[in-house]
Amino acid sequence: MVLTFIDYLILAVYFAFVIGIGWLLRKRVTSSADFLTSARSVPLWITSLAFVATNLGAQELIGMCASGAKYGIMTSHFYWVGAIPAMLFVGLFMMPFYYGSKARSVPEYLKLRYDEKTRAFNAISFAVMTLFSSGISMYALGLLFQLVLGWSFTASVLLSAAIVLVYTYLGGLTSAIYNEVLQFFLIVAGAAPLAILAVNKAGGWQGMASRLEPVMTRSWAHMGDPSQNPMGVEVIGLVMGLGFVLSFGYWCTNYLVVQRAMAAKSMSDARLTPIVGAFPKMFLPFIVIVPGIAAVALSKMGLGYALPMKESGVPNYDLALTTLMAQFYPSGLLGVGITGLMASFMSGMAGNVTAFNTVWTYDIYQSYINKSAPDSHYLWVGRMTTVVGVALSIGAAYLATLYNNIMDLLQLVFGFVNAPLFATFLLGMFWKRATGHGAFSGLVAGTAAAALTHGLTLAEGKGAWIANLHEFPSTMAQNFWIAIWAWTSCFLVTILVSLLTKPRPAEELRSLVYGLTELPKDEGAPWHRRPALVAAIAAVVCLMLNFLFW
Amino acid sequence: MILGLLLLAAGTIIPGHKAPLTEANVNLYTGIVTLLFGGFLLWMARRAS
Repeated sequence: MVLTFIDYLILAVYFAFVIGIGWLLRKRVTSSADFLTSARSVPLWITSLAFVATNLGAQELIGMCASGAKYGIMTSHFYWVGAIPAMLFVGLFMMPFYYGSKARSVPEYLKLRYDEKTRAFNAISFAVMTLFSSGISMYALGLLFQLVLGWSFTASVLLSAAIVLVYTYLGGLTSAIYNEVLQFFLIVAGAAPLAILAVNKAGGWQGMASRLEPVMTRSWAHMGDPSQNPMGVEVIGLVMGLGFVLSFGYWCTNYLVVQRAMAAKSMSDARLTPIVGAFPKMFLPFIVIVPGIAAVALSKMGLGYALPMKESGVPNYDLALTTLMAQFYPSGLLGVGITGLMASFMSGMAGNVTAFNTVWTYDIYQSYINKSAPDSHYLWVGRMTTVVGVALSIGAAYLATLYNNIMDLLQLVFGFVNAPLFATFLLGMFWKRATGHGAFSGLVAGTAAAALTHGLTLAEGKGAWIANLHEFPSTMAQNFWIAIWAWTSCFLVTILVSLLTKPRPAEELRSLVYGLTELPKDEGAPWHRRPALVAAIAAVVCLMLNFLFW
Repeated sequence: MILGLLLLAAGTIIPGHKAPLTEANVNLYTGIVTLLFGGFLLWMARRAS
């Protein structure tokens, strides 16, 4: 793929815009709250798009297109089962506690609700995961641009890191959030035309369906048995593992996304952020997954297009998106496509960096290292942490070049840590009796259960480092069941230890737990400002999409 | 809007420039759509302010 002047011009205009946004917003930053949490000042439509965009990294764009080519429309489960229900839940039921508690971060909520050790467990694991995630994102960007465009790995990594550093250093979280909205539109502008062109060329949905195996165009019909579908999963593993544990564990507890909702101007906006965001999210499969399906159909049509192959003889699905761009995008639109990819990397990276620097500054530095400095000091620490965070992310990117299974490792560790966390939050927010000792014990037990499940089961040659008691048909199925066991263990151990330990007095739990918190009321608000009603509409639309592609 | 203008310019100045599997002048059409969408966002912003 060769870029021309117009493509580079589009990329340069994008870089100028993101830096310009950071520059314009720098004057709004006068305190650590402004820099690290936006001081709860961001409008709803911005927070809702940022909520979606910060999660829409390039690994998702490339990965979902690849999964679409490999698994077909079943990949939409990651959205219609694995995201939408959790997004509606966090907006309706959890934001009143996150926002109402005045916690500045998710770990801080854990400290307020439980105790310091529970906060520390979450803050430290989150900080480490976030840095690695950011670094691996950069590694994937560098690798992709090296392969597809012939750019130097180092140049790609350093350029993208430098630009993210500039606009997050200048404008903090607000800059990251406003840029995420720009990046969202760019991602859609870069990917939507491809979906339209590729599907049209492949003969529309009916044309694609006529050229592909039925399992590629049906999302639920082949879920009865793992052997019936290429994902190797069945309904229970999918719904409980992905739809409940992993999905809720991510969307309801990961500070990367929750931070965007917590930056909203009001409680109502904070609740509506993930709910409004659910609407664009549920239509993303049409622009990220469907092109992958079209790629497979196109490769059977004798048009001269074929999915590139790896040396082992299997298709290289990760290159589906970029090879389609090369076939359908002339110079100009190609620049938009590449800029969209770059934007998706940068939105993910900036999201991780801003979440990291808030957790580091408030939950680790202020809590354990320097508790009573003036606010100007914490603002300075926040800025320096941005620099250090980006530098460590670059380090993680280079580490990934040495250990090529680091992505798998990170996915695994994410599952170990995220899966039990949702049980901790669920019990913390809805059961007054849950104690700090219970929460911490539950988290440790859940993480241990995840590690044990991985160590005792095998999937595609991975795992079973203790013994092989069961073999899953796919690593996806294994991950879902690891999550189920981790969550269940955390849930049960938290309850058991809580019942054996002394709870905090009710007065200390006001605004932190159901039953001791005045929940927001929506009577009198216009219909589009009522979270329950908007969520119900989103749920119905999501259900309809599931039935449409049954 | 800037993106729309750039694509529109590309579609107008080099209309024959096409990708292997595209017959249409996608730069022109995408440029028009992007320009219209950008205009819509600007109008919404003006209304809000």
